[in-house]
Amino acid sequence: MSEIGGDDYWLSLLVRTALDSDQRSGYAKMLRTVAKSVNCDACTVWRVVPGSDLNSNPPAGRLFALAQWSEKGNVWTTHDLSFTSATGLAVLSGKPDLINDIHHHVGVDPHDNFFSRTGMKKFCTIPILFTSDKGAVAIYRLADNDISPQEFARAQLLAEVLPLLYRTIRDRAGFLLIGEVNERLRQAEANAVAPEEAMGRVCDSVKTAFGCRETSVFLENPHEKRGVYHCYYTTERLFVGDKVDYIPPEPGLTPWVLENRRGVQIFDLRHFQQDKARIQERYPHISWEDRQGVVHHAARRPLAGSPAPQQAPVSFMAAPIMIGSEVRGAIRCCLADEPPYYFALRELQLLELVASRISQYWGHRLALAHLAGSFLELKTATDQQARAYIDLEHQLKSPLITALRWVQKGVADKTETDLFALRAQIKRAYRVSRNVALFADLAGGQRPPIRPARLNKDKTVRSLFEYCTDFRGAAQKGLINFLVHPDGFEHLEKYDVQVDSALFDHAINNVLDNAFKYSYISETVEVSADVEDDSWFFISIRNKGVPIRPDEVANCTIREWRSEAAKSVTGEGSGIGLWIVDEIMKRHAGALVIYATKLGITEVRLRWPCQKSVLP
Amino acid sequence: MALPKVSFALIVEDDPEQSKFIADAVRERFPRYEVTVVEAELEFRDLLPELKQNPPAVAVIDVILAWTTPDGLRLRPDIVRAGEAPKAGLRCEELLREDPLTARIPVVLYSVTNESHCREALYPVNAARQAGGYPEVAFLSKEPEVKPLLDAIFKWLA
Repeated sequence: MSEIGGDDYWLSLLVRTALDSDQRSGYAKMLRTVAKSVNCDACTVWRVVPGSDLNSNPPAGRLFALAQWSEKGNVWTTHDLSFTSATGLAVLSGKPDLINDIHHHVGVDPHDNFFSRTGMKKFCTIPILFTSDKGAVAIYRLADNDISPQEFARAQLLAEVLPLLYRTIRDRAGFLLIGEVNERLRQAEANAVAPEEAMGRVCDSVKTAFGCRETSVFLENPHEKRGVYHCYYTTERLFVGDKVDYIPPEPGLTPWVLENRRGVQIFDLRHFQQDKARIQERYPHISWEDRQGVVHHAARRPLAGSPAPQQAPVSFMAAPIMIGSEVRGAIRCCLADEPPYYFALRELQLLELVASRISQYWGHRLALAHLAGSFLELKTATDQQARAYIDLEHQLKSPLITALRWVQKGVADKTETDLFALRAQIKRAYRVSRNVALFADLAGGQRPPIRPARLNKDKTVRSLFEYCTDFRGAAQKGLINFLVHPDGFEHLEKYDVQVDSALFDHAINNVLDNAFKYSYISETVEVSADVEDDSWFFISIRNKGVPIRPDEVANCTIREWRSEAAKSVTGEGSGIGLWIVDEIMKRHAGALVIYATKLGITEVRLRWPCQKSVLP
Repeated sequence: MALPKVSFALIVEDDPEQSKFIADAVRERFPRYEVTVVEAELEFRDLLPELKQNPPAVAVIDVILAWTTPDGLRLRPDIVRAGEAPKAGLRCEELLREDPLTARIPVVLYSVTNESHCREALYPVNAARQAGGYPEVAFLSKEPEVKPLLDAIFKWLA
């Protein structure tokens, strides 16, 4: 048991105070213990500003207030100390200094704002070592009695452990932050909270943990194009201003993080332009301009009613939010309003952990959004497919029923035209059944196999006459005429055209069927052939009927697309006929080409590659 | 289109082969009746005012119908676009049901479409018809044999 009031007692109390603290307020409690242990009224921990050079002559840089406590509250006149001050000199020399006479001591200006406004009369300053930097603890007394050598010795004893305890509190506060962010995002996920609200909860936690005025989260909207980072939440709208979206590459700190996928930590934005070269050594090509007036708004008033002549650093840090190797956003913090007033590498590491947890949360959301999108797409495709099959069932059953009725009524007394009409119905059913099979294959990603053979002139013309006769028969006994111009097919004697005969027949019949369905009554569907550029053989099917608008032509080969006019004139029709023809033509390295005029004349050309044949 | 002055059956069917076959069968079985064929939904709608004055003894309506014919091309209004073609026959029935002068016309939906595709739509239709005291809609699948249809309309035409 340590003696009350002894060195061990105060050391033990200091350690307990630190170990009980898991928030930034623990720093002040710790300094209070140190000050009270030597009957003093204020205590400040100073640290060397990053980038200072203590070995240059004169030393370059300064000290800034890392943590502060005062019996009268946070009333300070300075956040910045030069190396010519007593504390600065102690840091440089590594020797503690006891100043019981502020009027006659090197490095002490009794008229300094701090002494004149706070009335401090005595103080001691003790150099300390952080992991990578130097610093000092300064302890101040209001009373007239001197700080005794025993008190000074105790102050040194306690000051020695302060860096370690400072790190302990910082680590505990860090663990608390990560735990809190994790819990908040877990709850947001469990309760399907809107992402803006979830980010708000995270930002509030980060803001509290780092004591910063601004914490903002920028993320890509999963429903919009990539590369646009939208502000999902900010604790300080003033700093975001109207700049709610970042689209890198663009100047600025946050865009740099988004583009370079690396965290950034700037000690003091007020000196960005002066320190630019040094900052760019760490962050190549980084740039910043104070468009939102951050430095102006950073004018904190440490002494009531009076802005400090030397401001605390306006620190900035940002970390990318990554999913895999892709950056999806960034979280940033700016302008701490309480000591330690800056974000060290340790804080950036914590922010990166927060960013990592946001990545996880965002990844889940993206996966869900993707899943929902895929489900919707799948449902739409399934519905479309189901509709297509219902329609194909209808298209298949109608001609079969008609044909069976013809057969049941007997064929003996039928005219030739009747029999052609019967054959047309059977062929129609056959064509639809082939369409069903091809649709199923193509929709399942299977491409029909082709067995190419040379297209024979006589057989082709004969087949076309036959098809046209069938369609004429189906078209209400000749109300739509079908005509084959055989001349152009003579080319087949000179040119070698390789086709799969079954797919060829199917493609031709699908196009003829379209002409049949959409032609005006009494019009003629004309079939002809020719050769283009000595390298393409084509069959043209031309009709006058329901017009296709020029801007719709490109859509005709899209699966399940039908023009509004086509939907108006046919009850059935799945919009897969020309899609299948297009696929067939592609399998032959050929093409389906559609020409449409305003007068309702449509010409469909089926074009195959050809070459002059060697053999007759 | 002028409706017959005598009792008649109305056939709403866009497949000419089907309509011819049905019309012939009805005329043969019920020789006292004329048969009027309507080819498309729009033609049916145009005929509605006349149907109010001169209702048919029965209406045999296909379910999947064209809105119009290529020669009389008029694009579908939005209300029809939303419903799509498979609902055309049901829309025709609804138009009849909406007006007391045509609501009593017996309707047979006659389609190659499987009944399961229409069953859900038929429940509210027949519930509304029952509530109004109108004859229920019968659904028949088209088969090569036309007798089931003739039997179904027998009670209206006999």
